[in-house]
Amino acid sequence: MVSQHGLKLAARLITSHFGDLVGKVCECLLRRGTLSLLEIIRFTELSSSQVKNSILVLIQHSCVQAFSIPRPVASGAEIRTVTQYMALFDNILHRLRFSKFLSIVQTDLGLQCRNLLEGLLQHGRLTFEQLAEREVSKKQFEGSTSSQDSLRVEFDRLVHARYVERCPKPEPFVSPPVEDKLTSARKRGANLVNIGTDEVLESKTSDRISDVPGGHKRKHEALEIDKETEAVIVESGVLWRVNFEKFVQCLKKKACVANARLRLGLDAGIILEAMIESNTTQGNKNSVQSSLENIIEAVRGKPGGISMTLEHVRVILEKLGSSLSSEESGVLYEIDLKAIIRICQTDEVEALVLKKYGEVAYRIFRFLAKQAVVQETDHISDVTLIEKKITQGILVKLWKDDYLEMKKAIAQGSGQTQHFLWSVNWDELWEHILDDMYHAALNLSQKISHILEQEQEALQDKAKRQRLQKGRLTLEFSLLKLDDALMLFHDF
Amino acid sequence: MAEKSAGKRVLPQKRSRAESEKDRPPGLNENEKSIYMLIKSREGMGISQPDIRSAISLDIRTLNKVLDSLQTKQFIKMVNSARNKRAKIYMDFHCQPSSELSGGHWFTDGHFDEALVGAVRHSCLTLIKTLGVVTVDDLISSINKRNIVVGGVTRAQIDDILQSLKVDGVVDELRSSGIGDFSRVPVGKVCYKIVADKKQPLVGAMASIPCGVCPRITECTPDGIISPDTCVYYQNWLGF
Ligand code: SF4
Repeated sequence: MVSQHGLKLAARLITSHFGDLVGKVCECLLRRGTLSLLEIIRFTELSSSQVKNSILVLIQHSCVQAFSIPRPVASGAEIRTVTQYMALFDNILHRLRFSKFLSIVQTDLGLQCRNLLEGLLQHGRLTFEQLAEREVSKKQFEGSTSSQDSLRVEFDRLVHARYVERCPKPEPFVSPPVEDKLTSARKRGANLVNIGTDEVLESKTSDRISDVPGGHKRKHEALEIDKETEAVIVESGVLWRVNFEKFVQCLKKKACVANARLRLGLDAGIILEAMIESNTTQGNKNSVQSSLENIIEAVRGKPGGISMTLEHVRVILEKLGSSLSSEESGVLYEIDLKAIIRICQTDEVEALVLKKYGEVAYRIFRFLAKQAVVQETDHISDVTLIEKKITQGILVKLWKDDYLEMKKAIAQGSGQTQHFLWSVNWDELWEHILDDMYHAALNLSQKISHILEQEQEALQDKAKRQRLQKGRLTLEFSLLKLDDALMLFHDF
Repeated sequence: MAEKSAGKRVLPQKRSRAESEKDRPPGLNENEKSIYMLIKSREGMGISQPDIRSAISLDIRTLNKVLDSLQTKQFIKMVNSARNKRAKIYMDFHCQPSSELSGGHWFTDGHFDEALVGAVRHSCLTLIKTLGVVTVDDLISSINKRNIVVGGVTRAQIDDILQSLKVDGVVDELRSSGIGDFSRVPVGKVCYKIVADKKQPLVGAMASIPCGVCPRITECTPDGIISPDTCVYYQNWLGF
């Protein structure tokens, strides 16, 4: 379930990108869950055409998924197929990270591919023809040229690297058992939002949804750029969209590599990156597996990797927490990426505790974060060598702010003594931190808009405008950084 | 004496008649004698009033009277426990409170000496960083040679500091291999070293923006009295 501030942030993003009407419709779907067109009209009190247009915009940008389900009409006797609309929370939030997606593609495939991707990000679903047309006219405007053929080659690369994928059928049909799940989910509460992307919908219902032309979407490994695919690309009417899942994977990899580099040095970053690139596991996205030979080969192909000895690579793999398994193909190294993400999450929370509550609280929190069982106040004070009263005060403060969990225990002896036992409840803490992060991101984006307005008002005052611009850049950079942290807790 | 090492026991130990007679102080009635003997047997650990009651069944009024009388006659004294400030502990008048009662080796005049902890911790860290690999003996002799702490440090104090540094993830406890960094420490001896990958605390995304550490975040709403548009924390942060 998405937190209240998560919903507010998503609604705000849509409003600022597409205007108030689309924002209102999207917020209605985010808050109330899956709805039919008539229900949206009733709840938003907008006209039918306004709602329809808004829905079209949202579907075009993969922010809403439409699907058909059979539903009994009023009397209960007759069953009719009704189209339902569901907001895709994750996809909406991806709008925060378009600049990151563009930079990934530019680094990997070059500027031309980046420009093509930009077209898809700006316009949502497009056919290759539309995309090429847009690109050609843009080039003409800039005074350069670009042929359809060269664009197709670049587009092939985007498809081949899975940055772009074919759109599934716009309105898949969901048969009754799934309808039950969906309607019961709606009954559970108006605030319950189906946060899964359309991938969730597709995977849950993959064998129920009939005739999905984009059905090969989940078989990327089988996707080969052969003549047939090329033909599909240029085929008129075939819609393409950005494959968000691929970008999430790329960003996850980047986060893990950055953490390894920070924690264990440059070489660890190179080795982990090499290992991820030579990964042989397909299904499990939380771990990577590769043989030492393949890792070495990938390491050697990287700047700074050529000089690394076999022993050095082995030692670093061990430091990275790898495990060894023996497969038919030989001995394989395996690294749990989830464990690295967990370190990143803990680092983020610890940094927050340090800044918000100070060094002593940071030491106490770090101690508790490492414990598997509850700890008593006196013991915490003894092992950290922090005075008992101070320890007690900090523990209570962290508990009040939901960073810690507290339990009371009564010891029966000559009299009754009460003991306070403390621990970190990670699940609750993650939820609470994530909600605060959504709130902070919401505030940052509101502040950015506010400064933009002030910049407009200060057109005549150059010095003030420059000061505002500088401030806005700081905020935009902070929002990008905060979004990295958001992904740690929500997407990875 | 056997009783001395079992100072923590609540119940008095059985004594031989002769010994008991010899230790029995003059001028005390039966109740006073038995309670005094119990308190005396606890030596520097002392005993609380509820513990006396559970060992010798007496009604509370009589017990309090006996305790007052023993204090007046200067057979016993009442001391405070550093661990539990509300607990009143009775002890033989001539005994010194044990370190557990007085709070241990970090307590000065019944108070936790933060400055002392800070000074010893800092010295240990500096020495470990300078020497690379150290043993407890190295730390004791170096700190005492430099007269960093008035009266010198004890092994127990150094043990405490090393334990807290381990808990903080700042130092590692290892056994010397006798080679490389460990060459000056005999093989197999326990020694300490700064954690290899000890990094500076990360500057987190939330920690680096005003909202992340804002005390008013729960009251802050887009159109409220406290809102990002009017936020003073941002004004200060951005230097507007
Ligand atoms: S906008 Fe200002 S008042 Fe609101 S949460 Fe952020 S720092 Fe606090």
